[in-house]
Amino acid sequence: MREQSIDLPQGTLDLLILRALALGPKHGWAISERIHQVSSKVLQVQQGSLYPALHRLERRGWVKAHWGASENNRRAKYYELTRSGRKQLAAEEGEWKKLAAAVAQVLETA
Amino acid sequence: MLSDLRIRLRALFRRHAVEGELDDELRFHFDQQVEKYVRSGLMREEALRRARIEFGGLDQVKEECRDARGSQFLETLAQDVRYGLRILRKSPGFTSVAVLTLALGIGANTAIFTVVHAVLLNPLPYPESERLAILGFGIGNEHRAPASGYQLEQIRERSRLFEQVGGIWVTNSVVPGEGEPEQVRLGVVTDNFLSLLCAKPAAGRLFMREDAQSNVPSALIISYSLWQRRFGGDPGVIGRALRAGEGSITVVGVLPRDFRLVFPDDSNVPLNVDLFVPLQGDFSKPGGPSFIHTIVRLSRGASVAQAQAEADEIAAQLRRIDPQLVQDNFSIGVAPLHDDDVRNVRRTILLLFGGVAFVLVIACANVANLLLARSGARMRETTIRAALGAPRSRTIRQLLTESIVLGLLGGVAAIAVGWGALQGLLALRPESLLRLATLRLDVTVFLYTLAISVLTGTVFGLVPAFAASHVDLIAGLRGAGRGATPQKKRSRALLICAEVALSFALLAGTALLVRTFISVLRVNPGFQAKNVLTFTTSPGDYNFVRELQRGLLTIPEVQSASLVSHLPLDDSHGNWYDAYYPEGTPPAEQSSNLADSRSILPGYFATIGATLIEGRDFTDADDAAHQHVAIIDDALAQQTWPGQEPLGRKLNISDSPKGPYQFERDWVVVVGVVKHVQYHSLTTMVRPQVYVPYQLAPRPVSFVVRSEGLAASLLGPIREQVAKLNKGAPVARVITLDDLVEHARAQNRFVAFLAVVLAAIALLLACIGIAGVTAYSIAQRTGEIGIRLTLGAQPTEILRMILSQNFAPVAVGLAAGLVLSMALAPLLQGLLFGVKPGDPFNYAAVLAFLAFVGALACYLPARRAARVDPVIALRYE
Repeated sequence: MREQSIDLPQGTLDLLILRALALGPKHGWAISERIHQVSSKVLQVQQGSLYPALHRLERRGWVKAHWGASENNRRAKYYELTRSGRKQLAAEEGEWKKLAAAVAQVLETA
Repeated sequence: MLSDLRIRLRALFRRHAVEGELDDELRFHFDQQVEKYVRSGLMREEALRRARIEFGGLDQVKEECRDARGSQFLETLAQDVRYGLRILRKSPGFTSVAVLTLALGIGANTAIFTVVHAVLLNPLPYPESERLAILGFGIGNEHRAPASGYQLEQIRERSRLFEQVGGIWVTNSVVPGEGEPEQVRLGVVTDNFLSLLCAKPAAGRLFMREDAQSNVPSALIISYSLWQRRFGGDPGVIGRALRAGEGSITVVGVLPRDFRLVFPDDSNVPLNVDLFVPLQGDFSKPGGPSFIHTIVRLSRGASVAQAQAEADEIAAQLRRIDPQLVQDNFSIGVAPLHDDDVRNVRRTILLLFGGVAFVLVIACANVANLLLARSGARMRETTIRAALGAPRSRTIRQLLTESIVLGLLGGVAAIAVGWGALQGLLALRPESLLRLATLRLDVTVFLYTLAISVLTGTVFGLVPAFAASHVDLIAGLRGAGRGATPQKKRSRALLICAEVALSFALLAGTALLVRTFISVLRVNPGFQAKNVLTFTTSPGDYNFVRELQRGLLTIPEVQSASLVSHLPLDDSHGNWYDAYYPEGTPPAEQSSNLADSRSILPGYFATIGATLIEGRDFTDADDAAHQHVAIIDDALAQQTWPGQEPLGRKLNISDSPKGPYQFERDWVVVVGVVKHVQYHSLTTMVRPQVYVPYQLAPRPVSFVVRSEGLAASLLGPIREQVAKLNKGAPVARVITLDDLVEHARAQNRFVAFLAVVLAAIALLLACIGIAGVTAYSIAQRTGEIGIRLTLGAQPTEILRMILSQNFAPVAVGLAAGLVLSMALAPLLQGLLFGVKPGDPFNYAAVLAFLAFVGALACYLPARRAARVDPVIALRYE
């Protein structure tokens, strides 16, 4: 049985990708796996959204890419955070936390 | 930012590598996913199947990534261009017709734009030419007269906004020094005139204040071409003293190679002057002849309006000092030099520009029609694109790109056409129209052609693109509706209508211009130009010129010989005109009327073939010692003594019995009346003339000699006669009266010729368009025609049906064209002569002609329709 995959809004996907890369460079599949694992298999990122998002992030200079060898010795494209990427991550994390807190508050009081 | 640009550029220029990388990346992901499934226990096939389902459409993912890359626009643009070129290559017939049509239309525009650019847009070849202005002085009714020396000095002293004031007067002179006597133009200039117009001499220096101090000119500046041909380009000529008459004159400088005097037509300052000497004279007292053409350099930041205000103030001051100026209604006008130069030609050039624009629109309409026809053939392709999900805007963008590519191809071919047209223009050019500039294809012209090509491509591509992108998916895929949609029909009809209307306007204008030229050809200039040779030589006194006249008369073929101070239709040196008035004129009106003065010897009228209406010609007895006499022309007689007998009446004119240029007012008796001679233009009378005997106004003259046979054969004997009297005297400016008349007609001829060429191109294109559309619509309806024939329709009925349907837009176009021509005709006002813009006969003739041609263009293809074999037609699908 396939898990229900939740559709992520675009901005959130960017945030998750940046977070996934915070601990070091990864290739696209690894990013998708990590998000899947860490979210307790709730979030399944489709490659149809992942790769366009990665390319967008690359264009905006928040990640940079290089080709290298994967764990099973195959050619793979690795992405890593740039300095401005780290700054962006911190900024977006802050935004998200504020937003989440506000929404939670509204849901509790109403 | 930088990374963005880098990625986009890489995506654009290294597409292959980037696409390959994307492929690898996605494949890697796919493989990893499969491995994951295998490791979790699935069979390999099952794992593959699952992964494939999850992945969905690989190409869609790729497409999204490409979008994200952001270079989409340029990539698809490059793709469209490549595709467009391929399509064009596949249909060489269509492409060649379209490119040829565009080449004609754009090429004509390129050629005329070269003229517009060189004459109207380019600045004058002087340092900071936008600050240069020319002063026109008002005397009586004339507003563009030159200044007197006193007036020039006064303006210099009194003005604050004129940084520099300089002037020139042009006459003839023999080149000083040894060698073959050669007569050239001499410019007598203020010390600052040349420095106003020329930054740096090619050698030596320009004039300084000191050069004007001496009594006789001591310093000489020569032109580059004179330096080359007379002194071999020797730099040692600077400082050399050349023999001039009794004394000598020293060469102090040489002007640059490309130096020219670009002055308005009516200033009689020619383009090329070979010698310059400083103007000497005491101009401290008011009065004196007005002969100096004055230019000024405005101070930085001063506007023309401010300068004019100051000039008005100075004119008022001068009028206060000298009451004569009040009488003369003296005024000073300031006009920017470039504006003034192009005053007369601007309208003509702009009208020609309008004409080629019309031709271009017609060419565009033709190509648009071609594209519309072809879009029917490509209906399947566009429908499939739409079915695959291409939005309408994408299809339009693709079709537009193809049109622009076609336009650019036409533009490239147009450069060749434009170059050819330019050579033709240069070969034909009349001096008056194009003396201002050198015409060539430079960067600006290329850029203009490029811009026009893109614009043209957009314009003619727009209608077909919109029409073609409107796809009915089902019908299109089934292959029906191959191009007979009502929109397309309407578009085609509209285009034909537009073509016919524009052709009408061009033809109507051309007819007017051609008739103008014919009128100019038929004009009676007041003299008989055939077989009359003219020449100038060194100036001499009365005895010299009379001796020479007698000598010329001894030549066997010579019928008569005389001289005149100013040849008719010859604008090569300064005119002489002044106020005149009859007895009894109050002082306030004494300067109101101006007449040209001409100094002649007896026999002049007979020689040039002018008609003496009343009275007599001059004789040797009409000299300064006896009663001063004059001959007037009929225009002056009519103006001054309407309906009365002019002979014996007295007239006050200015002449110089005491010596050349020593003008004074004088009462003369009218002894003869001659029919007006056109001196300035074939088409307008500028001023009436008064003729005085040479003894009353000696000055440099041109000799006129009428020959029984060919005028040119007289040259040898003439040289002999001149040499007999004065060995060193040159025979210069040899020109026949016929040449002068031709020269005066040149501009009209040129404009008429160009108009005919443009109208012919337009007509040809329009006919091709009409015939093409008719043939196409017949081809479309072959099936229908077959059915009609089978059902019993007569061939003539078919013919009538086709004709009426295809002639309808032509008829509408004719009506629209009539309205358009009538609206635009007033624009031609200044160019016409002998014919009015609203002449109904003109419109009727053009209407009939164009209707006939249009009907023919419909009829010829339609004839084939009637001959269609119904069996073949029915099989046609």
